[in-house]
Amino acid sequence: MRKADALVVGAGPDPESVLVVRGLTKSFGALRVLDGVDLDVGQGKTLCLLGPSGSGKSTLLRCLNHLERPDSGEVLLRGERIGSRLDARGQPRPLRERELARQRVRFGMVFQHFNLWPHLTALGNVMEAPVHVQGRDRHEARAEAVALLSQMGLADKRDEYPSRLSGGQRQRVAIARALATRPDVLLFDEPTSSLDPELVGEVLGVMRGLADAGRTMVVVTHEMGFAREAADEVVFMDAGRVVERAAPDDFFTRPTEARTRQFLQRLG
Amino acid sequence: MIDNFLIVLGEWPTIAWGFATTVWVSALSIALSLILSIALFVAIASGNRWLTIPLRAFVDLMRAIPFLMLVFLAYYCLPLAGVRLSSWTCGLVSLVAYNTAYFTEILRGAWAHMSAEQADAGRAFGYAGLRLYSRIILPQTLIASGPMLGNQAITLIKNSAFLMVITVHELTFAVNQIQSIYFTPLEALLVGVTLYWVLCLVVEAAVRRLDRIAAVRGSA
Ligand SMILES: Nc1ncnc2c1ncn2[C@@H]1O[C@H](COP(=O)(O)OP(=O)(O)OP(=O)(O)O)[C@@H](O)[C@H]1O
Ligand SMILES: [Mg+2]
Repeated sequence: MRKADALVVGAGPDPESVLVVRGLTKSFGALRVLDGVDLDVGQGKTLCLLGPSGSGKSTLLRCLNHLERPDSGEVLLRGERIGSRLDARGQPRPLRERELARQRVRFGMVFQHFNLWPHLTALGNVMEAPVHVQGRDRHEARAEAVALLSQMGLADKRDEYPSRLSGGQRQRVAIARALATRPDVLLFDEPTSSLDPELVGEVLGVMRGLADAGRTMVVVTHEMGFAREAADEVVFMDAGRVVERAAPDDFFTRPTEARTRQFLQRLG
Repeated sequence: MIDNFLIVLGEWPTIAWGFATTVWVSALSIALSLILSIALFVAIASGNRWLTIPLRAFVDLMRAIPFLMLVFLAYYCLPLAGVRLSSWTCGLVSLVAYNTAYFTEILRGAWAHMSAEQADAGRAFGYAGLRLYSRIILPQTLIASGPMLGNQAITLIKNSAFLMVITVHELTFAVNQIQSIYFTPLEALLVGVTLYWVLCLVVEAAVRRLDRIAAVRGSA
């Protein structure tokens, strides 16, 4: 019903979408890395972004939370413009870094190289932003962080510093950190690419659990098994454009674009 | 020889005063230059060109001149510019200026060695401006550079001996005074050397502690 209403009003994006991206472009010098990308991620959906190296997946993810400012296009998170505000004439005005910082907390980001803060324990890493950015009550934030670490299977590691943890454990702490700010959407940039093969499973398992629990997620990955099983939608990018988007079954068994078939064949 | 030692030790108030002055001027210089170098590090890392260029020039200049020359410059040339300082203050200013440059370079180097993604992680979780520095960048930079800062502090303590040339009554000055009055160079210098050695051993022990902390918490 609500979808129909939106159509009547003529408002573009699906109102059920948590994250809407329209016409995103980004160049580094002469290199056009994003060339008009559109995305819609519905509430509780998992979108997997695939594509060859250099196709702009990381840049797209970093433009979503404006770690990198896109050149044009818009990102809407639950209807709120990210990174800019419309002025009286309807022109986008870039927000200042401080205002942007407040918006960024609404994305929970998980990096390829974990990027845990080395001076803080596992628990410290998870509590840090809730307490010092969001100003939440310390006891409450601590209790929530303890629960998140337990959920990640790290109850006994909470007082360890990152240097004392394995790659898989570090990435699970990083996921707990990303959940602790109660974000609207989780962004994963190749979360298992820098892990030893035997540690990949434990991280994918946790992510699978999050997808099943109805978290809204955008996942850049080369793990086709994960994309096939956990994704609601697969988006294939090449040279800064979305080449194909489909449900995982269709994507892997009946790709429509030649470029997609070529990509999948090369993976074997 | 024993007699000479007794003569030197008989001058203990002079030695004690000199030692106290060395400890005090060094400790104060270390504290002040740590504060200043943090400010300079943040200013340089922030990338504002109007700040970065002059501050980098200051750091590079300080590191390119012998400390003794800086002491002479401060002592003889500041008055020409209308700045009159006591010799003690003049010594403090020289130590702080010189050491701030080295501390700043250590912090800058440690941060450059870390991943730029550390700052990204801070920004992604809502940090910006000074808070990004105070909560994310500075703690790990200071922990990682702790051992190098400690070693530089030892260099500073030894450099403080140069302040005798502008008549700061620190340990080297005291020892030199005693040996020239009683003609007991060996005994006087041995007492002085021993006291420097003990002081540096204490700092050395602190550096070892900082080493252990940096190994666990300086990088992931
Ligand atoms: N900060 C930057 N400055 C200049 N060029 C950049 C920058 N970041 C990315 N690029 C370039 O943009 C292109 C896309 O990079 P991006 O990291 O988004 O690709 P990717 O799809 O994530 O690749 P991979 O699978 O290897 O991680 C590459 O050619 C890269 O060299
Ligand atoms: Mg990438």
